Amino acid sequence: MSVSRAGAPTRDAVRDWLVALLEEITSAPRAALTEAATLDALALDSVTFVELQVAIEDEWHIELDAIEVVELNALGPIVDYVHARIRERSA
Amino acid sequence: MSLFGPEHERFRARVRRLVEAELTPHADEWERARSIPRDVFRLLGAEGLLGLGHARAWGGQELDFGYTVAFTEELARSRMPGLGLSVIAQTNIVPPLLARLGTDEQKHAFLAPAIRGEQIGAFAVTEPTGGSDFVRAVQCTAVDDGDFWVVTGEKKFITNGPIADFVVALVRTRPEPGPGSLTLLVVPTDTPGFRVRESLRTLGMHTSSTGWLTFDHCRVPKRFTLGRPHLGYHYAAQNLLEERLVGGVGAVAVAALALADTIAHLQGRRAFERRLADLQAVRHRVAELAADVEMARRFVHAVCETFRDGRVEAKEICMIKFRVYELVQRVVERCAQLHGGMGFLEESWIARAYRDVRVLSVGGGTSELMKDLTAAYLRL
Repeated sequence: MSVSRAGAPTRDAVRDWLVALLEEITSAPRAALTEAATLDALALDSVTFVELQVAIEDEWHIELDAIEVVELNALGPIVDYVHARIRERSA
Repeated sequence: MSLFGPEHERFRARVRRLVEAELTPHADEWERARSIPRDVFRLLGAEGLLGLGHARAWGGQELDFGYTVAFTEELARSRMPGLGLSVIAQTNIVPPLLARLGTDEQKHAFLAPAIRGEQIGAFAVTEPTGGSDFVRAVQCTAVDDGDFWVVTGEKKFITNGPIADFVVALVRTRPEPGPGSLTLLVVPTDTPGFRVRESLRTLGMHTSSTGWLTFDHCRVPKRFTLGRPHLGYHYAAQNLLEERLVGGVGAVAVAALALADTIAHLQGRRAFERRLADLQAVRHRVAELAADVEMARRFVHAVCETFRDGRVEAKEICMIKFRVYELVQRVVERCAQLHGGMGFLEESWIARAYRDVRVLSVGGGTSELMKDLTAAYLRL
């Protein structure tokens, strides 16, 4: 995993990890998991959304605001959000 | 800090007196009528019991969650779990949504009258085609039409639906099946196009009305959107946690009452020239049931304590919803067995309780869904 000088993972590392996670829990093909892909298009159900949230929180030791994640909707902004949370925690 | 202090116990005693004087004596009559009078809500509202945790600005008492737990436990003494369910819908299902998400106009129009017991609210998520997977199951649609939403569809198994003055409905506002496609709307039931299609005849919980509702091009002002559009799934999912936790409190209280009745029955009835309570097989069974009830109560209280302190333990609440609720079903079933023939009489409370608790593993999210969610929290 790529790590920045501050000790937090790079944005690319967070994106790659998130893409791998979504590939696993949604069975979506990797090619579909672009930064423009949305949670709505991935058709997450209530259980897979919990899986997504818990996996992110456990992996990066952060707390997510689930409503903010849904509002962001697209993968790229969600990566930015998670990355920012990790950097806050690491600061 | 413990859930209850001396002030909670004084409050509990006051609620107990009220319940035993004003509600319990009517249990048989209201069970037969399959409904409770609307005045029950007004009575509880006038006593300040429908807004225990809510802001004084809207008629609430601003009391901590321990009071809600004490109130819910004492309500079980009405011997009408259906009444308890209807009241929980009025206290811990609809109002928290309005308090958390509502505008001042919505709070004036719906929250304050609900706390006074003057208006009855219902929370409508489940539909004839599905409930647990509501991200996908919701087909009731709201179409954007200027300052209005036009709502068309159906909701089924809705507690308090047939008697509601307003319904907080989860509707589809985007065609995609994902979590950002649903919205909460407050729909007054005098909106043209709204209709109670049927008051459902349920196996138990007869003192709680359950409805099948239809929305036929109901024009709902956009100012009645609760929270932000398209975020309804998450608002609803968060809100269900409080419902499931408070439901657990009420369920354990029913089990404790069933056990107390059973012990009294066993102490007063004789067989083989002894009290039933002296038979070893019976004593062991009662000991097991008492242990079950006590474990359940302590687990539920522990989660209530953290809830009071502002931490919502979603995984543990899911565990309560399947493990504790099913334990209560088992306890009540075994208590009915220990009542012998009495437990099979329509007139006996234990028989009614046996029917009533059947819904616990279904309503508010099935046990199967709760186990799936728990597994998700465990990252299996």
